[in-house]
Amino acid sequence: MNILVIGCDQVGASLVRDLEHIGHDISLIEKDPEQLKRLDAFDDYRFRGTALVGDPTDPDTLRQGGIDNCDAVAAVSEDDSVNLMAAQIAKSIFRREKVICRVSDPHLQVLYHKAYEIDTICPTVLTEQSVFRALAK
Amino acid sequence: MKVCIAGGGKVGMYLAQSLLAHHHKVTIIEPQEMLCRTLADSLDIPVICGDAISFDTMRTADVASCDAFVAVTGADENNLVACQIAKREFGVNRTVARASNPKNRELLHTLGVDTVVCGTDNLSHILEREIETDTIRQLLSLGGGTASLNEILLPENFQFAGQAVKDIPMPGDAILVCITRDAEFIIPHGNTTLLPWDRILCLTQDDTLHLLMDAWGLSGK
Repeated sequence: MNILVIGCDQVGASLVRDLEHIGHDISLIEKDPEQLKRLDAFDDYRFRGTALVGDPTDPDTLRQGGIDNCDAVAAVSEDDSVNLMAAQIAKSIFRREKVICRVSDPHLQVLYHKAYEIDTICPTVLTEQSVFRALAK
Repeated sequence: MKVCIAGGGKVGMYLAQSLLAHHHKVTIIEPQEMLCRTLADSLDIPVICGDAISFDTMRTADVASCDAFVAVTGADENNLVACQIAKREFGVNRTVARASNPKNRELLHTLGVDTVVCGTDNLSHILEREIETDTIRQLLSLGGGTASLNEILLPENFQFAGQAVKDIPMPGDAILVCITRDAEFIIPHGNTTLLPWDRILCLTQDDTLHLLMDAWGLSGK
């Protein structure tokens, strides 16, 4: 699959690595050029996809990043608003079907999943659940 | 009317002042504590210190009771998300967002914000026009910066001088509103003639104004 990943913090960089490991083609968009250095920090992995520095909430940047030809979009930057705006552009302007969005605020996650039908993943809820399970055993 | 403003910078503060002057009730949400103090001291209105894209802050600001929600922070994506929360979660009827990037004006509207205002775009339009020519002056920006009322001073060598309005080309969407000739005020009809040094008021779509200027030989000097 062609996958467009937005954001290259620790989550984005690891996601890109793991997806490339199982044979997907990755295109990456990140605002901050410094963050792209993370891709070189892995011992046994080298990034083979294309990385673009730009504003992921700008449709022109998304187009440059190949959104027209991708099979899935993962908006996983640290900024909830950036992810939500990029995900909505991917869904309603570029008509991508598979759009996954990282949202740290649990309230926002529920709202955007319900009202805007975006697949949202909330690290806050996942962490809480893991800790709870570890302690409740 | 009760209005909640997200973003207490210069735009938010002046907006609050002018809304207060028109007897509206205003609440401001602003994340920076220092700014909040200044706002609370100078405006005597409720100021909520917090992130505008958080449910808790918006609940504290009682956004659900507001008639309008205006997001004027410097980040377009925050303005979008704040307006969407205000609308979908708190049921606010009218949402307005500021777009810093002119490209986002259409985009934010498509994504559900009722009104999008782009200061950068409006300002650059005005500046561009002032620089382009001194025969034309924008008096009023209309339709959210897509149309305007302009004053045009017809030059000495105006190519349609002495001709009737009905015979002069009017390309694009434009309406000739009135003519000021020395001290005389004229509402034009088809047979009214235009003369050099007439000051005319013209209502146009911004993207077709240049067609009129070209047709009348007024662009460039």
